[in-house]
Amino acid sequence: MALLLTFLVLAIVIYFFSLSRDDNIKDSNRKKQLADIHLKQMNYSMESSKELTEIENILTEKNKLRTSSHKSNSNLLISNYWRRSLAKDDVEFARIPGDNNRINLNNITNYETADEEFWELFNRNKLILLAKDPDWIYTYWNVTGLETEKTKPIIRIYDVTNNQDDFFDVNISPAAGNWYIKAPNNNHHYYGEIGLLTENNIFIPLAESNSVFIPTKDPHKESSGLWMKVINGKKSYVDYCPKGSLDYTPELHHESSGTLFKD
Amino acid sequence: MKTEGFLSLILHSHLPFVRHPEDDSALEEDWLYEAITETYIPLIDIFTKLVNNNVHFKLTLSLSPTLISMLTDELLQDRYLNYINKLIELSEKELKRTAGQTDFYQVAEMYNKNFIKCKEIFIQYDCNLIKAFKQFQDIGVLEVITCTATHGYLPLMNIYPEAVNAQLEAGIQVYEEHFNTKPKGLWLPECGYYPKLDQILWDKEIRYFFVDTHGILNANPKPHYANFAPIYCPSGVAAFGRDSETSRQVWSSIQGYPGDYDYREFYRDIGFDLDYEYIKGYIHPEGFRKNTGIKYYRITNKDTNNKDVYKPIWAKQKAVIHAKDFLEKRQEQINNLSSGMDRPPILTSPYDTELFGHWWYEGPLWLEALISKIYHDTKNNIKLITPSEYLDSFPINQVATPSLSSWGDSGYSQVWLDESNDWIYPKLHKATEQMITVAKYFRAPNKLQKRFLNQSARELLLAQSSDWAFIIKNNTMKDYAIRRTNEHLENFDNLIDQLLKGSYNNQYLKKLETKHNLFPNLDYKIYQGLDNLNYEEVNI
Repeated sequence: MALLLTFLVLAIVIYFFSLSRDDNIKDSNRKKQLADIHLKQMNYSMESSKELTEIENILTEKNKLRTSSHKSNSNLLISNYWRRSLAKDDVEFARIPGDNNRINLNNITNYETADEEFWELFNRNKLILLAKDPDWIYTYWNVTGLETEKTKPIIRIYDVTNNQDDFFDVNISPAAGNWYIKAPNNNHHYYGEIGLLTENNIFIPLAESNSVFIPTKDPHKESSGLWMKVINGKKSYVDYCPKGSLDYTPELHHESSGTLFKD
Repeated sequence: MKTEGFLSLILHSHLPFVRHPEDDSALEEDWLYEAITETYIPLIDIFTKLVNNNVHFKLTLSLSPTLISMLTDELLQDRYLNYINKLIELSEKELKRTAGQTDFYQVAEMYNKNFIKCKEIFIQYDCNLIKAFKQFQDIGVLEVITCTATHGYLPLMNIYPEAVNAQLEAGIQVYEEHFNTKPKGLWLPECGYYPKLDQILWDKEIRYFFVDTHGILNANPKPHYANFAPIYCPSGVAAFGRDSETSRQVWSSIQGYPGDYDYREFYRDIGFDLDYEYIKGYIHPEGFRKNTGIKYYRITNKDTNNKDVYKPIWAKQKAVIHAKDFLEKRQEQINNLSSGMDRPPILTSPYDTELFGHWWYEGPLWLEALISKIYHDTKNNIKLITPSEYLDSFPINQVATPSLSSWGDSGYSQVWLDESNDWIYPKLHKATEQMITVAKYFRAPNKLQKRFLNQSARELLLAQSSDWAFIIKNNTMKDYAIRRTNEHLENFDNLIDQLLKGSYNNQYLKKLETKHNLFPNLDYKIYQGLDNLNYEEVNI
């Protein structure tokens, strides 16, 4: 009887043991398969030239929604202000169209007389933003109509990093033609509109800018597990597990040809 | 057994286009002649010696398209022959003058020998030093790469993808014409990188580029091996990050080797020190003094102007000591790094080529000693490698996007964009927009229109040289840089104006084509850009 009981217990133990082992194997196999499928999908979209240029999009789920965020457009064609106003159905919204659009060459049929039309293109209102460093944006403009009596000339800078609603205004003196604007955050994308602020705080944009990326000055915290293999101009994502990592924070001096003049 | 590691030395050679056919004695052309005498030929000399001694080595040499253009230009080659003849003549006079003063005479003798050898090497390669560099690439000791056409600084150009494309395309074309192959890597001017630039490089089959240390350390996401292994940008191009220890040891004239008291003092030149009557035939014909390249003193003590006489033997010995020190420090560095890595670390050490020989006179000697030591040494386990060889051996790397950065002072675009030089950007941008527009407009120009378009492109490229903004900022030859910026933009305006009005001034065009004769095969169509470089339309 005791023997039978031991037998039974043993059989049950063996059964459960094998079951759980099976599960383990199944689980790791499944993980592997999933990882494989994931890499294959990534490699597939790379081959079909849907290039994955934003790594964070691959790495975090939440960012999947952000594929066509502002920062992927080097030149915004639609005013951010316009977009937001439309979203809010803002009736008071007023806007004079900006000008940095591509030039439609089809309009010019005869270049013997195209001269004036060409120059006109370059005399239109424009606002340009350039990143100087992690703290400063350089901006210059060529805008007519900034000097009026009852309105205040401003540049409105939008933080378009996360499609937030953040913006701030910078008072400018129109005659200066350029301005250095302190960037509130580095590693952020900004976009600007130059125009007039009325007494009732209605903003009338006269020109829109390109979008500008203010570079980071700090290391990123997250490290990723994404590795690539490139051989003979062919690239593929691979499953690779690095053994080890370095924590390296040197003191940086930025020596280069400029150093020679300073010393 | 010491831990294995790699050292990748990259020498970036660049001078702006300073060819002045209208002026027999343009001071700026001396930049080229000094670099040939003190840097390019001494390097060719040490490479030859090393090869003849069966020393295997691997260096990466970047030659800018403007420099390639000048080194292959007949007028400048002729003028260099005059220049070196004149220097040999002066050094002979110096031998007579210093006879009896043993210390000085020894130095005069060194210069005399060096200048004569310089001329020999120059003639040996038919006055075309590109032949020498090509030869070293063909036998496998140099990996020659190039940069953008006129060293245009790309992070401040990125709102015009067509302009970035044109700088790259024109530069690569010049390289191919002279080296009969595609460049494996590309030197981004001033190591200026912005995210997504790599995609354009990938499309041009470029395998790698360099960024400053923080460009890798601040990459997104964070790189596992800091800047001691390359990362792949999402496009597939590899980015190598500068090693900060090696850069400080060689770049800094305070903490680095070049400031050693045994080395030659750069700022005491007989062009300024000697009696006017004696030296007047060797300085500027209008009478103002300039550097001749003959300098008798060593650094001695930085705080005093009383310098001791240069001792070539001591300087040479010091260069060897410094090479040994450099190598030992690298081994230490690699030992420390290896524990955190699953592959041998690579130390990426980019320098301006002109640092070696021109600024640091003993630089080429140091380099020769270092290369030779690395090859013969049995105590250390460091190998020289080029970036492309490293990628062949280690094709799997982490994917991350380097951060926008440059190797300029403070690390971003501060050098090329500040209160002193920001006025050039509205002008450059206007011309850039016009160039892109006319390029897209003239799809089938006649021969004359084509020449106007090509010369307009040349003038715009020349105006975009990062050198002008750099010089203005450093306030050295400021007037020249301002003049050059304005000159090219004015030429551009005139050409476009004539083109659009259809009132062609052939002589004017011919004059510009003769004066700014670089990039003979340039095609303005590079400004038409690639359709996929254009902006995405935003739909609402």
